[in-house]
Amino acid sequence: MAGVDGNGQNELVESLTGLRPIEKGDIIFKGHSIRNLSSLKIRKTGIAHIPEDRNKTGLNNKFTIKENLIANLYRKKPYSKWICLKNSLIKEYAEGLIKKFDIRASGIDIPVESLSGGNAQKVIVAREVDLNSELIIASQPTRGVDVGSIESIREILNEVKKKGAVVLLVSADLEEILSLSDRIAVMYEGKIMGIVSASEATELNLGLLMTGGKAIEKE
Amino acid sequence: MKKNDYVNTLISIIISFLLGGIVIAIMGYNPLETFSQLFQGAFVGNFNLGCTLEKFVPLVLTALAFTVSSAVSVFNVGVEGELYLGAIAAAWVGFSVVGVSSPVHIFLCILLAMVVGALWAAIPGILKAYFKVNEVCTTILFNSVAVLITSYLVSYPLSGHLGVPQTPPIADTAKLFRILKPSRANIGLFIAIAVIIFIYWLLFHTTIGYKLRSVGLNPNFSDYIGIDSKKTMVGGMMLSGAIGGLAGAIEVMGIYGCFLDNFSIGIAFDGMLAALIAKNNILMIPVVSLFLAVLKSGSLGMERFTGVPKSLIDAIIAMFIILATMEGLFLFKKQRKLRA
Amino acid sequence: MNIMLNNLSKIFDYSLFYATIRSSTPILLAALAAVITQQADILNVGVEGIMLAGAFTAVAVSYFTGSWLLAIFLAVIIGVIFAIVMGIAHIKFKADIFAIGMAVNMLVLALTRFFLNKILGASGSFYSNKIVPIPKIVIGFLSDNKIINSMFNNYSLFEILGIILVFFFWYILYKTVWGLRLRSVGLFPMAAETAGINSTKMKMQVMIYSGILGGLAGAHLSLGYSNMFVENMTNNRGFVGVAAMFFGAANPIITWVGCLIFGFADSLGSRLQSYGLAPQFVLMLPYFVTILVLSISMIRKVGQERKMKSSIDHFNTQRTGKEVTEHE
Repeated sequence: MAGVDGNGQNELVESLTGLRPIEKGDIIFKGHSIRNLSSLKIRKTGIAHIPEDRNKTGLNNKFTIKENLIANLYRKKPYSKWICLKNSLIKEYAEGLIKKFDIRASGIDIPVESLSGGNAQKVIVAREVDLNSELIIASQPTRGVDVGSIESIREILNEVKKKGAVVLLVSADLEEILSLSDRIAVMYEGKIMGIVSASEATELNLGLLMTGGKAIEKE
Repeated sequence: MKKNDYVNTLISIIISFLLGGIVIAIMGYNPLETFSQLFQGAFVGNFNLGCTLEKFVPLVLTALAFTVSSAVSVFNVGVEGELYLGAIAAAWVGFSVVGVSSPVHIFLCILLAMVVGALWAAIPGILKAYFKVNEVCTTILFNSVAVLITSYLVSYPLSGHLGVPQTPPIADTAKLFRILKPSRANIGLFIAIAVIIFIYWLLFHTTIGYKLRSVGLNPNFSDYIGIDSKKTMVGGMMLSGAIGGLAGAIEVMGIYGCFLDNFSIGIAFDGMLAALIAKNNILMIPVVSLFLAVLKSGSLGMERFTGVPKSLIDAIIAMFIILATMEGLFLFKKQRKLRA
Repeated sequence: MNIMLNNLSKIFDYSLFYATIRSSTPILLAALAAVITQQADILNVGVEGIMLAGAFTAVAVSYFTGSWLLAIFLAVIIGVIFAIVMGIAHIKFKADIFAIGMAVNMLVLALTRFFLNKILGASGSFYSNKIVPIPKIVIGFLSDNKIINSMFNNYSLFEILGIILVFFFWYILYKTVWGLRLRSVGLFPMAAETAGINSTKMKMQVMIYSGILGGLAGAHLSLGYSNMFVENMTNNRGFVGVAAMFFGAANPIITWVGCLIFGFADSLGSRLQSYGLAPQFVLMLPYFVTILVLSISMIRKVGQERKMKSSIDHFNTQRTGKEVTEHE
């Protein structure tokens, strides 16, 4: 989903993930409507979400890295039994994730707000990607992130795609869209202006659609 | 609490006592003798020690109640109201229900008290979570309403008709066993300790605690991750109210044996202050509560033996609170420069 | 039926107007003290304590010097002193404003109890005919008409002044540069600092003003509304003032409306008491009404916000054409 910031992408993603009520229309995922389900239920249907605002939404800044990483799984076995948290298993899981996703931090018990932007984003990516969901919605995943982490995150998303999951990438960065996407929809003023396949997509085409024009057909 | 905060609190205590000592000396009393009587009044002898424990229990529980609601970022100033309602609920079960064994009776009293406290706290909780009504405002007003409700109940339908506004005395099977006679300290102390441990465990070692803390620190994140922040907020408030109700129940069942109109002169507010001084750190709350309990109970003995009025100790406590809540008051110049 | 109507007309008569104004003024002054600091995002729960301190000081000074003017003056000074203590503790040393406020309340309660004993030699309450009250404003020609006399005459100084202050503060807050700067400090301190506004200075300023108002509130309570000092005579009025401030969202005029509602319910309640209603319900009434009105206004507000956010036309305005299409 390409588009200049502020054209409805955020609102769309929020509707898809149960964070915004839908008044008209419907969303069908795997044959069932997920319209107006709670965010928890939507996650349970197999959708993961990397949100656009990592500080307000994607992370609990005062929570530790460990507490952030376990945020999707703390309810499930083996990380908790009945209501008891199994702290040693949670610790193992968090440490494993830090290694796997190359998160640079001095430990898992420091608050996440002390991490750099890139590392903080990697915490979110790690947490969401490790769920192995069928659909990951990644909204501006490399915004405000250092170059090394950008590469890292894009690589991770590609891996996810290769494993057979679907990635809905929402981005205002054309280069990112062009390098990662198979099919590109462009949003402008709340409407989808056109859907272009990767082979047909050029910066010019996308740029025109993003600013409200029509795509030029390739000769 | 960071190390600085511990030092801060300690120095605040020392300075408050120094200032208090100076005032006492100015008034013509001997400060050393006064403080010695204060200390003795708090610890020496079963009665005195019991007195301290009597005051400790409601203080620590109301402080805990406030901390629990703070965990979901709601300022429950209404603990006093929950205290009153829990107390009268416990008293009602205490004198109305007959023919049950002691453990069952005590359990029922406490249960109703906690339920009533939880439901009462739920109202401002719902108003805040779903309608953004400021909880400081509603809970303060609700306190007055709660006290008046209990006042009405104890003067009319639930009156013991004894000439004094109180309910009929509760059955012996509902009373909490007294320890350290002749004081009124009772096994409510152990109930309180058990609750503290339970709440600590709940907040840091369970999924429920994870949800509560998550909502308190970042409701947006919580909604995103699948925790219903509104429901959790109300749940946290209800837990807070339940603890407040428990505190009231213990007062009735362990200390008074009935519900007495206006029995609390701001117990819950003192508890709230203890929680604020302890910066809502559950491990520090019993320590601060004990300290305040020592001061309050010791001051009675102190007044008796030296003539120094109790209100002076209250003033010292207030001063201590003022000093203790200031961060970085006693940092040495070097550290202050480092901070800047 | 006739009896009921008769009773109703006895309860709801024109003298209720006077009673409402009288009973809402102490709360109004306390509420204004809370309003002025709230605009700088400082929740001053110490109003209760400052008010009590002012009340005690006013009575003591009036008793010893016979001058109500001096009494008010010193009550204000005392109020300002406590306010400055709070200000320094909170602004400079980042003490939790709620804790500091409650601590001040505690401190004042203890100190007034202590000094009531030591200086005035009394316990529980103090009354003497040597206490000179704040004068009432009697307008001669109004006393001719019974109804107008009851509604507009014989008010204590501050009952009139209070109303004037409402509009005064409304003007200052919303129509002056200083007010704009203050509100920006309260709403977005970082932006205010960047614009060159010294937020520390402004915050201390409003704390001082709050201390002045709190002192006045107390002086009125002990020398205007009543003519004595009773231990803890504020009796939560300071807190109700804070509640009224929340009700009015720190807007002086709406806050005043909240105080009037409270005062009205209070006065009404006292009358209902003589008709057999249990005293406790009567006392509960004002609190209940305030919470009810506050809740209803917030519920409506949230509902309005929801409608505003919706893309479905609730207000019959022209459609802007924003439609989110379905996503495959």
